Amino acid sequence: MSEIAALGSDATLDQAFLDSLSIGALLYQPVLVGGQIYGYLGFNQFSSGRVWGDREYSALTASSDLFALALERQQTYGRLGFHVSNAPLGVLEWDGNLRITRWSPKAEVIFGWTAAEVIGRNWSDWQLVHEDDAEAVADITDRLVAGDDLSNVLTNRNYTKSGDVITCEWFNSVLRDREGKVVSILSFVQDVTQIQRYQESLTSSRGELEQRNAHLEERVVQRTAELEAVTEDSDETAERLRLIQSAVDQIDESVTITDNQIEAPGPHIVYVNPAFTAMTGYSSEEALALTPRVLQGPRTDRAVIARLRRCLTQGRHFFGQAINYRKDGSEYFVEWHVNPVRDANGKITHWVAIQRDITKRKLADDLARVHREELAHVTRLSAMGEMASGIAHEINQPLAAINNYASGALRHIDRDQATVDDLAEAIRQVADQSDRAGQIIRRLRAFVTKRGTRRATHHINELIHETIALLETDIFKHRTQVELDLAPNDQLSPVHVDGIQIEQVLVNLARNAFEAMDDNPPHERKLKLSARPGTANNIEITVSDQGPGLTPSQRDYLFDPFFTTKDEGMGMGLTISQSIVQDHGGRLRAAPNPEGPGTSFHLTLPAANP
Amino acid sequence: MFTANTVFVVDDDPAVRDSLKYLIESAGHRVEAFENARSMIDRVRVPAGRPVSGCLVADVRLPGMSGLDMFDRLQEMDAQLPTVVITGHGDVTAAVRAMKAGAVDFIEKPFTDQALLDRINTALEINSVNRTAAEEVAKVEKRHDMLTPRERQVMAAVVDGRLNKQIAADLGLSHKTIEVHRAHVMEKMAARSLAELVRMAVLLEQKCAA
Repeated sequence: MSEIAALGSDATLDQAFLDSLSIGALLYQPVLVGGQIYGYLGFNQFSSGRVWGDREYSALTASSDLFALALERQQTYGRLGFHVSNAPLGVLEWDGNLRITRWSPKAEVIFGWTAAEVIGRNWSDWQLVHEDDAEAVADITDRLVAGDDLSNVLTNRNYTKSGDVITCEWFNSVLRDREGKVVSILSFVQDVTQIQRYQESLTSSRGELEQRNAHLEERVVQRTAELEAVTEDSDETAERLRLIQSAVDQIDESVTITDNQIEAPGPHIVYVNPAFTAMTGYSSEEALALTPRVLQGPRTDRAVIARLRRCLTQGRHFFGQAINYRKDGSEYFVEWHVNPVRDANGKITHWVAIQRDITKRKLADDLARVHREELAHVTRLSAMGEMASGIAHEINQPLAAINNYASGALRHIDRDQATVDDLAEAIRQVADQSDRAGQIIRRLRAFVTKRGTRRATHHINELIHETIALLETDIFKHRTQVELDLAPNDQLSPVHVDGIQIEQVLVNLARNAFEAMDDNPPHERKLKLSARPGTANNIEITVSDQGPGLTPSQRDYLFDPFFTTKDEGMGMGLTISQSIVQDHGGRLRAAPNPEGPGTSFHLTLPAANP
Repeated sequence: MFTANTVFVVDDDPAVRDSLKYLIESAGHRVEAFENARSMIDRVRVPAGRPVSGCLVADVRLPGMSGLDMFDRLQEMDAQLPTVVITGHGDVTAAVRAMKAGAVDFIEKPFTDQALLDRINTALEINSVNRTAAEEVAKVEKRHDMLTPRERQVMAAVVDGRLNKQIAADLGLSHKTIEVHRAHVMEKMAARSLAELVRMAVLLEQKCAA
């Protein structure tokens, strides 16, 4: 190639390429489209060289400019077209008469009509715009056309080909020529139906939300108030609980709370108070691993436990007494209540047991009962005195009758007035009345021996002390003093006697002594009680007074029934006393005091067999 | 009205009651026995002025009518029944009560037959004496009733110690008249002496006062 000339930029074609062209002369210029070399435009001559001149240069430049321009334009349209086709918005173009000139594929999708169906139609020609919005749309387009707006945006309702109503947002802009005449109107359209719906629902949701919020806030305020109240209550409750707890901790009664598992191995202890530990010996920790059954033992009354079980099974309150066992195995008497605890539905969730140790009370009760029996018997014997005088009266009747009949009979005989029949009758009466007297005596003895003898081993000093206790009232009444002279216990063998009866004898002797000294000046009313070992394994008890003493004949009759020196005496006390003593294998006798006035009664009892 | 001496016995014990009856009868007395004071009182109803002939043996413990009531009733009836009360051994209170109420004696159980019979005799004696005295008074009364009013006046004055002439002056009668009245009085009253007359007057006075 001869002449290759390049115009324009530095870019040059490859020499080899040029050589391959088989051309004589070339004038070329790169064509720049968008700042890039698109290609080369050139004049070429196949024949030999040519000198390129200005005329060719300017022609080439102009041509390549035009060419470049055209290419650019094409590219731009292409690009634009591409975008228009692919834009997510529908792209519509209208001419000056508001007829569709462009209808993008997206518009087809949005509205349903194809481009072919709508190109050339005016918007009001078919049902594109919802009639209610037509006015607004017309207004917009007027403004565009009139030149009032360069662009505007409108949201209005449209119809689709299938008749559905959709809401679209229209972005419109107008293009005018130099004279201001409308060349075209471009519309971007977006189907905002869904969005609108979302917005509506959002609005209503928001409204709802606001309402709910308001409501919620109300509720929160309320709840807060409630909670505060509850907290206050709960504080109160906590405080009450604390107080109750402290009360439960302090009471003497043992409190045990168990779960509701009645069947073995239950029920399980869930709480015990300190009194429980004091009563049973089990600590609180130990108790929590136990069931109340451990408190029962060999001498626990099974019937009571069975009753407890029945009450638990039937959900009823239980109250009972039984023997319980402590941790160390010792026994104690317990009295206890068991009550169910129910939940809001009435179902039993726990059992509460309150226990009281009544060992002392039981012992005291038993002791009181024993004392009452003893007192009753002692009173009986001393009441026997009163009774005896009544009996004495009663005996007097038959005795008087006997006397009368017998004397009368004798008189009859004396006066020779007696007939055998008469006498027989009298004698019969005597016999009858004797019987009657006998029966009265029998009643008296029955009264005395009613209790029956209960012999046990006693220390005589103990009995003497108890006797003094029984005589408290008499000592006070008679204003006497009592002097005890008792040998120490280890010097006196125990005796096997009915303690009550011996005490009765001593009481009788003491009372006699008191009455004997009633006429003494106050400082000479001393009763002496002594207990000494006697001869031959006996115990000798002496009761001495400072009274006037007994005459020898009184001493003879002393122990006879109905013998008495008292105005209101019945004369049975010493008789009975002596028979009691003799019953025990002992002796009772009276003797004047060796020194000073008064009498001593000596009571001898055999020692118990070792 | 009992002409013979009767010993009344009151005792609630049948054996004692019957045996007492037997005993007292054996001593020769007539006996009527009662269970209680009421039945005895009913039996012993006395017309006024006629004392009962006999005595009463009663046990101090009387059911129904109390001992005191019994005595009161007897008093009302003017029965003049001397009573021996049987008391219990050593019952001093009862004995004192009985004596104060008017018993003539008491006896304690148990008693010997002789002790009782002795007391019954004493009581009967007293009864007899009383009866005699009462009869005597009745007689005097009767005689006094026979006096004329004037004679009574004179008797009253004589017994008062007035001399005849004083009486004559008091009554406005002559001395002689008074002497005549006086003689009549002595005769009708069967008084052998002034002293006797005075005694009779005293008796009458006592009777009125009672």
